[in-house]
Amino acid sequence: MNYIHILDTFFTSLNLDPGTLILYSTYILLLGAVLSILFKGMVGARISLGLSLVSSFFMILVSLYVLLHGVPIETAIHIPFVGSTQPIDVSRISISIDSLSAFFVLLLSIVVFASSLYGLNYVERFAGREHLGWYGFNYSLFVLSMYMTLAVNDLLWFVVFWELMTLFSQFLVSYEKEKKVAVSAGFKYFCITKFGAELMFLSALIIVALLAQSTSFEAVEHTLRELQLSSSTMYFVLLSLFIIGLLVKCAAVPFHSWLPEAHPEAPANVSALLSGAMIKIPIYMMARLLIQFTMPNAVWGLVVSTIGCITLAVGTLYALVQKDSKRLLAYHSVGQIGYILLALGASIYLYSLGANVFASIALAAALYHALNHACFKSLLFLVAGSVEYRVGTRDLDVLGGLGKYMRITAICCAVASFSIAGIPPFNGFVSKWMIYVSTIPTSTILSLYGAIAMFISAVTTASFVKFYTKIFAGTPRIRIDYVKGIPIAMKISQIVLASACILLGILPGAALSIMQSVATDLGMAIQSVSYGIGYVVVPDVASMNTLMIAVALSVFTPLVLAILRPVPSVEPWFSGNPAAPRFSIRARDFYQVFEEVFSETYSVGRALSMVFYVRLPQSLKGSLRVLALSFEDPITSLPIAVLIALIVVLSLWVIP
Amino acid sequence: MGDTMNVGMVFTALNIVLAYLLAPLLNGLERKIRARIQNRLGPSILQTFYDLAKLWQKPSLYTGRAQLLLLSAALVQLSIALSMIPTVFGTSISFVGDLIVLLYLITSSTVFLALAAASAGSVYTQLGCSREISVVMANELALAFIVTIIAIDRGGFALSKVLPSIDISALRPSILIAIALLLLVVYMESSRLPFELAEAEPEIVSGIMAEFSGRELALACLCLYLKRLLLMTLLIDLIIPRPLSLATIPSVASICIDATVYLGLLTLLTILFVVIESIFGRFTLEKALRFSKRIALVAFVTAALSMVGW
Repeated sequence: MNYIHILDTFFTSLNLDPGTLILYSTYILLLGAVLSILFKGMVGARISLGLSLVSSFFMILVSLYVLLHGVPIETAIHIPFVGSTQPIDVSRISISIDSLSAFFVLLLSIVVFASSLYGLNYVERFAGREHLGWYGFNYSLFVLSMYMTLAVNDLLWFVVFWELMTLFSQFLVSYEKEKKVAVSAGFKYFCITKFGAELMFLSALIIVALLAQSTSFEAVEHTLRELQLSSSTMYFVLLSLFIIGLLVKCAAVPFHSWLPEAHPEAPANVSALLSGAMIKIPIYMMARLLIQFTMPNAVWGLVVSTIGCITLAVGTLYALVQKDSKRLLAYHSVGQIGYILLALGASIYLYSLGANVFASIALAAALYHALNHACFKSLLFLVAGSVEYRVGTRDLDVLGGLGKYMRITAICCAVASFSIAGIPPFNGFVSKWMIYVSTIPTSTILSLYGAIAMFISAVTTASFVKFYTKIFAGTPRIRIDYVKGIPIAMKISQIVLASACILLGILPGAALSIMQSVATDLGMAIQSVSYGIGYVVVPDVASMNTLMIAVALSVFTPLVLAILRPVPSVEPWFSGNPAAPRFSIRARDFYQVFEEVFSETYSVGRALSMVFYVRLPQSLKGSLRVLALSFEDPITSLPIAVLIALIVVLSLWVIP
Repeated sequence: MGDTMNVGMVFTALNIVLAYLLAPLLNGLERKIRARIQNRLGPSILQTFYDLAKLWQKPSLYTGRAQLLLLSAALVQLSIALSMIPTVFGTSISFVGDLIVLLYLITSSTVFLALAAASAGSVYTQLGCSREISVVMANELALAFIVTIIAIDRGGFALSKVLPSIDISALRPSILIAIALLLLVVYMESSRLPFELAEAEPEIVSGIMAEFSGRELALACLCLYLKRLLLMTLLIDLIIPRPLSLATIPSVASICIDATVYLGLLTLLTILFVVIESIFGRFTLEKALRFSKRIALVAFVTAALSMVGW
């Protein structure tokens, strides 16, 4: 209650209403894009980052307003110089932020806040590059299009902003354009996500053109609900197209392999945005589509949770073998998206079975894990970026021993690693616990998925033991004695995210009360679960109290430390000499035996991505040659093929 | 109600204190039995206490603050886990969490210990860390399926539901297999031969223990003993019923019987484990992981069977 009061006082004292605040942040971001080009260079990029920072602050206020009050905010942007058109009005973008949107806007704003703040110093890495202004331009517009994708309540505008989001992020991925690998990663990213987006567009077009006659979400909801009852084939085809599009964008297996190439190549703060926030936007739409727009359906629940389970296993097992710090993190993004999909699918499946209590916990788990992942994964990317900023490499084989020189970064990395590994009382533990609780005791196929998720959680832990020790402990293979701490803005942004990880971990009740309004709006109110500030209890099923664990840890650990009475530190030695880097295990070999023993799991992953990335493009390339279209890169044929289908449907629509 | 609550807290505090004494004592017992199997006289059963006391007086060298912090946190995590399940006395603080929290606390203390070791940066500790985490990872697969079987059978993870023992009349075959598999996993997790890979002294100079000295080494050893005790206790508590709820204060006699049965089973398990340990030499890491994978396969099949009501 108190928080609502403070928030209301803020809005009334400034004579603002939240709707206007949304418009302001839109204009601020547009202004950032324009000024960034006008000023060029470092100044331009910094203006754009600074204005993004301001807008993220506004959007945090807006989303909290919606989540605490439980009432949606509606407003509209009128596009100047365009008259009203029929039947689809393109002169105004109608915006409605309900609790589901607000939750994802909150998540996005936190990441935007941290990565913009971080960027203020980080862009110094690119000092002297002529097109730094364009970096700012793309950054502002990328952030804007993500906000708009979440905020609009119109299917066609959703698709439009979705495409813009892909476009601007692709420019950012290949920002370091002299690096061949960055350009080709950006191109692959563009082709694959374009393929998905066009499938979505196709589905949206059919829904709107043939069935709804209106593009607003209410009309689409109405149509889909009717369709679900009348024509199940049409319903499944349309939803399949749309959902494949969404799965491609959130890098679910087998559509995943663009992500580990694209995300590492972007500048670190953009990687944080991509992995921390952008891949959650498909989750947002999936929740809307499968829970709000249609009745939760058992088949979709099973499909999504099965894909989630495969994704979390494949993504994380591949992460285990990486030696490039950001690539390792990118594979973990695939893995963690798997956890979110598993929970979301479980909630849909369980709801359709009538197990409403478990369904609501699963939904809360999906939302919670999405929020947690946004915090710890963007933090990890910022950490990897800080290391690259100071040392200039991402190669885990040569890094080492940085803990002494970059203390704050090391502590933040430890917090983020413990969070993603699910070590109690950090935030990853809470959401993983909720996933296990909602899946394992149900005695359905989900029980096995939950068990696999639990195993993969140990693999994640292993991967981050490697990540942390290879960067911050041990002996480096390069000179690092010149390294000093990172600049203040980078430090603060990391500390903010690390605190978020800790708070979300030890205050699960507070976080759940925010998610409660989302769950209620989606018709899956969290019920029969008692939660308070630091604990969650599902009566007779499960319980946990992370606050208690945190208190015990913070009280007793210093006591143990106090009796240790150590002598000043020493360097390790090896056979009578100081330990030399040549005697350390390479990152690639850290879990080599484990990989050999569990090699079957790797071949499954390889086979799955082979089908989508090699076989399908090649066969499409063959069929496209019939139309006298030929491309050097088979991947290109994926979007082109869908594009042709799109044109066919469009022409069928226009001709009558 | 308040009274029984207080009594429960006192007993739980006593449990933790006793566990700190019991864990080294069991290690002493092990050494005695092992010596007898090898036709040696063996040290006193209190030898482990003497060893720890000696280490406590030695100066300790450390290689970084992170090492100390992680080591201390590992010990605290184990102590929290100890408060959660009944050891000598059949009481526990139930509101800390459930079976998942318990297992996660035990696993993360292992991870903290391995991290503390690896942060020293010597090649031996790194090898130890890599081996330890590989074994934990592989065992987790079997453990996850075992937990699944238990959770399906008991309808949840809450310790009040999981721990009171099996109702003989409604015993499922899957739960029996699960307990048998858990016995194996407990053995593999408690770093004993042939799975003692992370501390392999003749191979990698004590592995994760290599860079600990003095008080730190004492704490690291204590962590290992406590972890063994915890894992064995979990197994025992799943097999025999303990008076977990203190609705009425139990009589002195029942407390004594309960404690005796617990200690008796603990001794039996220790003897069993030492006998197995004396038969085997050390596995290679690959062989250990393959073994653990086979266990996981059996656990997976059993979990699938338990879902269809077996």
